[in-house]
Amino acid sequence: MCGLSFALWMQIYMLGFDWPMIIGGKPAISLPAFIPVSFELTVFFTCHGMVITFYTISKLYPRFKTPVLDVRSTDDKFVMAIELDENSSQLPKLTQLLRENGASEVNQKEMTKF
Amino acid sequence: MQHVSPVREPLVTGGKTYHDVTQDICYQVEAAPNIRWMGALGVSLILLGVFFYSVYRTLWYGIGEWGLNKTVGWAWDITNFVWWVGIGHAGTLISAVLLLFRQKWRSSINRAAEAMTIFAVICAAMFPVLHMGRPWLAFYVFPLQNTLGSLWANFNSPLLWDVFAISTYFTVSLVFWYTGLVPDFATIRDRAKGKIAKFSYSMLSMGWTGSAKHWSRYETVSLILAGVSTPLVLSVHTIVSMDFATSVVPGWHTTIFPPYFVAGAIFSGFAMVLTLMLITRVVFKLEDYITLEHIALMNKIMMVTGSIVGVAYITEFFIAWYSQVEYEQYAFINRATGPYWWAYASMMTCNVITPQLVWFRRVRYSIVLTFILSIIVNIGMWFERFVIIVTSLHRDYLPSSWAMFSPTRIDVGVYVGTIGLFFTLFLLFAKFFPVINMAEVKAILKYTVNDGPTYGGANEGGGRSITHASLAPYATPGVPASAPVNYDKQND
Repeated sequence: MCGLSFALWMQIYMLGFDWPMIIGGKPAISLPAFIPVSFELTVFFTCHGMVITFYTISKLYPRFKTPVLDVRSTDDKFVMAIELDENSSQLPKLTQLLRENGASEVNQKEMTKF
Repeated sequence: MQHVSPVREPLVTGGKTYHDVTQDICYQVEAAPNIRWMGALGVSLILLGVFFYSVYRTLWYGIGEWGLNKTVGWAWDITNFVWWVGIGHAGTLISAVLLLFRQKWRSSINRAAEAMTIFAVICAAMFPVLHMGRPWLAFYVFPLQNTLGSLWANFNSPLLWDVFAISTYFTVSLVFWYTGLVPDFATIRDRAKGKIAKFSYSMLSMGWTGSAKHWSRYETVSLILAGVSTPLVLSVHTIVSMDFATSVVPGWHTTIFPPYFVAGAIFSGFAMVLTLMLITRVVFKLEDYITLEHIALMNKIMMVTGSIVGVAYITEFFIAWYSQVEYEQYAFINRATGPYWWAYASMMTCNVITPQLVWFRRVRYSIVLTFILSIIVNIGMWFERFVIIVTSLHRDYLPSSWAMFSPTRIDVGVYVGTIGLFFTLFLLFAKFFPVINMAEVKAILKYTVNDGPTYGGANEGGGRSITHASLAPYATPGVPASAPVNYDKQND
């Protein structure tokens, strides 16, 4: 919608009001000829708006180092992270529960920032 | 264990596990470049040198270095432009249209095809920019302020539509391609040993951790991008065809151009994808991922679009006769029998007759024949553009201005040079980026609990043997690779 209105505004303003020119004897605001550019700009705004939103909300930006829970998570394993306090009494129970439900590995990892 | 359908050929052969996929594809990125790759890069770099020399001549001495003249004001440059843009279209078609149609076989070829799109569009963009003569003023094509010296851009002009279409197409393809690459960069990053590799792939992967939220957003973004790219790719070549169709030149002024150009673009694009894939699968040993089945399917698409192009040629001829317009009729007769009859003849042979050979199963499944066919189609499609552009222009309404066109060495140099540019970019891509979308290929491998039916291949009697193999499960002992879920009973 933004792209479409921007494109139409741009073309109508530029060729219709700011500097009307007669091209091929057609009216200054000849809408049919404006359709291709309007369409392209609609697509342009849709795609880039969406991709920028995707990278922003997923907090994806180039960084020097990426902390990963387990390097195999980007290869062939699924990783489930469960946050626990340092001295939690829940730990043996949780380990038991995970094992019973078919976890292939249960690890403890101390992480300060993730 | 891997589940294999009893009736369909598997999309990935060789009984790959998820880890095998990562291994096979990352190996190319991590290993030292092999000799064949070095050789290919050497040749491409020589051609790239030819490109730079020809561009230098063009810029230093001007467009007079080309074989253009006043009558044939558009020749090789626009021919090459349309040819390259057309080639680019197959990439988007594979990545977007086939995604919407849920053609899962696209997964192992879409990455390379999209890369091809991007590099082809870069090559295409060289021609209009160079033809401007003063490329440093290329920014005048954008709607800039009146006060800067020139007037506003003319939005009635199809050439300006082209500017918008191609730049939108290029940037959208680029982000589509890059977003798809991010999870695979993360895989390489996590495997990387060297400091530089770790650092650069960390930068490239933008902190992708493969979290469930990332994946779910990623899937949505891919789907919407595919949905938007589909009309985009059709519009781009439609607009390219309007460069011709909106003019009054006989032989150009036809309403059939948009669909005919789009079909031609997909046709030539698939031919180029086949050429590239057949080389890539051998150089990088990816026979298990790009199977004969893939080649046959792409051949079928080539056959369909090739037939559409063939019908369009004949329709054009028929309409020229039916229109009773003297000039139109002359343009077509001159095309077929005039001084450029050889170009017309090569176009007809390469584009109409060759794709029909694909009806034979033996041709469709033959690597050598497919490779030859794909090259012939590429040549044919180049001739198509040459025929449309040069034969229509060289004899226009005014016989006193009739002229012939013959290319100069610089013309050839720029064209051959862009092929060098294309292959240099593609080879660098193939070495440093994962050529196959690992994440998506893993998604099409089907894993199941023990004792599923297994595809045994077509045996000699013509029937298909189904074997119930119970191979050792891949996962850790005692753990089902995927837990059996019964969706029907959950709500009871």
